[in-house]
Amino acid sequence: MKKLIKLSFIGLLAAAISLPAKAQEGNKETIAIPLSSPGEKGKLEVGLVNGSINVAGYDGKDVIIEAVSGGGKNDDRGVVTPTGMKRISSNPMELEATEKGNTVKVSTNSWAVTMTLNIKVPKNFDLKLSTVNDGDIDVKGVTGAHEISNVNGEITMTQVGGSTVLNTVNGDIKVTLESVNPEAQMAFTTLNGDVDVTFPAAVKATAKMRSDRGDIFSDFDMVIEKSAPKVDKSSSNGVYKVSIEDWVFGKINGGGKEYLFKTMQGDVYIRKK
Amino acid sequence: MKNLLLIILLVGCFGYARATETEKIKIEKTLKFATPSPDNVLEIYNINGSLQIEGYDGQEIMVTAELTISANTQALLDKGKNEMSLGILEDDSALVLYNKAPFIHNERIEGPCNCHWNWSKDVDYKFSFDFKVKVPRGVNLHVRTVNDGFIAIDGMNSNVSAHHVNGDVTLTQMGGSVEARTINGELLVRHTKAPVGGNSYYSLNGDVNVYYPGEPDADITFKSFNGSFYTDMERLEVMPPAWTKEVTEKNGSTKYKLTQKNNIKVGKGGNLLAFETFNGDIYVKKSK
Repeated sequence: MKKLIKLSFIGLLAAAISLPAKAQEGNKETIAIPLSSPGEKGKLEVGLVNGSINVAGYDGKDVIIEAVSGGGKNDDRGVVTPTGMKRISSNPMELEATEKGNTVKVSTNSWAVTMTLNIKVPKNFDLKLSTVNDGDIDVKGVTGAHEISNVNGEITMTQVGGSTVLNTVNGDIKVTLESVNPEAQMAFTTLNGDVDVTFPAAVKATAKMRSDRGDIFSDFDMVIEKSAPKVDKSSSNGVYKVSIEDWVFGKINGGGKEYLFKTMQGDVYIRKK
Repeated sequence: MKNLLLIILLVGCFGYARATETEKIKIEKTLKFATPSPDNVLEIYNINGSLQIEGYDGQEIMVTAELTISANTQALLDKGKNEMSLGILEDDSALVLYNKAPFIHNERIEGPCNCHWNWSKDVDYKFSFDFKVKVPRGVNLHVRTVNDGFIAIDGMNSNVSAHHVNGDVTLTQMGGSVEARTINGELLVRHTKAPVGGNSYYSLNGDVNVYYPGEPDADITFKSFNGSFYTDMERLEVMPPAWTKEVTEKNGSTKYKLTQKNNIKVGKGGNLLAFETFNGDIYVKKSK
């Protein structure tokens, strides 16, 4: 991954050398979106294909989006440049944000252009964020119901509160929750990566944990119950299929809502703050 | 077997339906502006057929329009011949040529309306106008056509605006400003002079080829979805992409739109040349 970034960076440099470029300056633009009911709880929905999303809570009333374009893949495959001509290719970026009833939905052409969105939201905000390639999701200082998914990258959350449902495939999940909503279930799942979650010491929860090829660590005094492996048998056309599901359950501070921790290649860390 | 019979039957029907009556009517007009001025504009609003326009050093506008009407029956053909005609409107500084028929509403002539006409229901014959026009070089052009044909304009020193939908637009020996667009077709423009003011070029599904004599001082913006921008100009400077912000409100929701356009400065910059395609490539060349 790092290598790829480096490579594309070199590509950019090469492009910059071949033409005197001032393009760097213009790859940023900020837009402020006032909410219909300022001061009340709102929701932000962002879905990217290529790129990163950074969300930070702040003491303002608007949602402020800074769009940074670039790092795009200029796909030169199959391109024949006519003799004596140069090809000037760059993908212009587009972003559309719609505000209705304190919900801000952001759509972009990130399927064509890799971009980074740096977004500031009021501290009391629900987040629904997703990206697929070439990017991480980072959230800081926002309390609300958060639903975040990534595919090829990390999810990092610090100083957040409320509830979180997080899912990635190739990347770590790292979360520090300052407060939790006792009514909500949570989930932290990845396939190739660690799951590292820090909860307030007083949290009450029932952890449902599983790491196929790693270990599970915690400094909470959990009452561990290892469930009897759940065996599913099914048969069709004379072929029998048996699958065994093996989960570890742990009650934290007497138990509460179910929190799911799951990874295949990686460890699970459940930390006390 | 049954299917085969059905197909034969269908093809038969089609064949019958296609057995058309066709008639060509040639219309020739010579027109002149009452008061010659640099604001004189010739406007052509065509629907089906080509526009061939040639600038020359005379004073009169010589129009040859060939109207082709075809229909399934002689009766419908006669109806078409009755209904369809070449409309001509002479304004203060404009001459307007258009397709005139009861089912055609021309906003330029009759003002805006919300009318929709149903081709299949209202029009039971086919028609097309092929225009060949000779026009003084200094007369501005504002020409439109939609189907079946091309737009070819040659030798103008005025402002030319040419829009097509399903066909190519070819503008040669252009001495003035150009605003050209088509949806399904290639766009070719050859300028004889460096641009003064702004030019814009758009094709949705075709390539855009533009030739300038030498390297003009210009600010170029371009946008292509599936294509690239090529040029053999040398005094290029890639500028920061230009951002535009748009805010629209609708049904209680507010939409904020941010778009970026690529920006290149040629030489000292100045004249704005806007290029846009969706599926085509853009070529900006020095004419040899």
